[in-house]
Amino acid sequence: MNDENIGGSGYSLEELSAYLDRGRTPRIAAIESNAECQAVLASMMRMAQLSRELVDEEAGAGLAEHWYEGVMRGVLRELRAGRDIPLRAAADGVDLVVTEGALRELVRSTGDGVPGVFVGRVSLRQAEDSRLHITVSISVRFGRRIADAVTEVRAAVRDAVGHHGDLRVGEIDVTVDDVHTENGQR
Amino acid sequence: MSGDTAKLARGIDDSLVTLPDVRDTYSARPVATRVLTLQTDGDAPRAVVNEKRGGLEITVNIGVAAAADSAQVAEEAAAVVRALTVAETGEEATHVTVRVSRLIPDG
Repeated sequence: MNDENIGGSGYSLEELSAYLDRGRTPRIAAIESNAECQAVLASMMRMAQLSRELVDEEAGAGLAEHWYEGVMRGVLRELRAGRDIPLRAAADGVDLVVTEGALRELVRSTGDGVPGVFVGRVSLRQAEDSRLHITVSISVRFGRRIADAVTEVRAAVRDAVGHHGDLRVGEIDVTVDDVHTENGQR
Repeated sequence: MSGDTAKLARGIDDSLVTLPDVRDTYSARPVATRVLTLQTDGDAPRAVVNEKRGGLEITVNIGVAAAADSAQVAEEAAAVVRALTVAETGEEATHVTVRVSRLIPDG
């Protein structure tokens, strides 16, 4: 996936942002039928919600533009469909799979759901024993106890990924590489 | 896709979204061919039905509620695809791939 052709849709990050801004009308089938575009739009909406919350709670200025753009570039890299990972053995003639992109999106949305946490990067690695090892970098809101945030993210991600079919979660490394303040600045 | 397979694909699209934990369906075409397909047919079916020697091979991409067991939902989706294929064509699908493309949190 590159910035100019997300998921083979023919639309760029900027065009998706504009589409969201105008309320997703008129409807564009190439975007609405595309899983990668939908994942990017969902991330944009979560970030917009976070920005609104920061403004409401702290009378701040919302998320800094460069911060938003940095995270969205990361989202673009991560939400490529990537490899298919088997979910469960099925009857002959049936394959049940989940994409790496879907799992990365799940990890990202789960981490973003932990209070005071915003996910920076997500990576997955499947070991030879088929366990999934997950690495997440997060930004923690200033004033939040970092050890608690890390523990909560790790537990939430393990629970979120671990209940899908035969997927087994191995190590979950959570790195705090940023602290954001009330106006989203690092 | 021929007219018959396109009709089957649209029927599959419509049926899958009625399953309780299926939140959406997405284009199952390879990335490289999506733009071309959408330029010629903006509302092309999302399921892909290929007529291969020996039968029909069907691929669907779905978005599933993150709280559900996506393997269970995918199994139910495969059963729907198989049943609809028999009902529409009188033949069993030779291969069905259900790809979970998104895991979508509620709310």
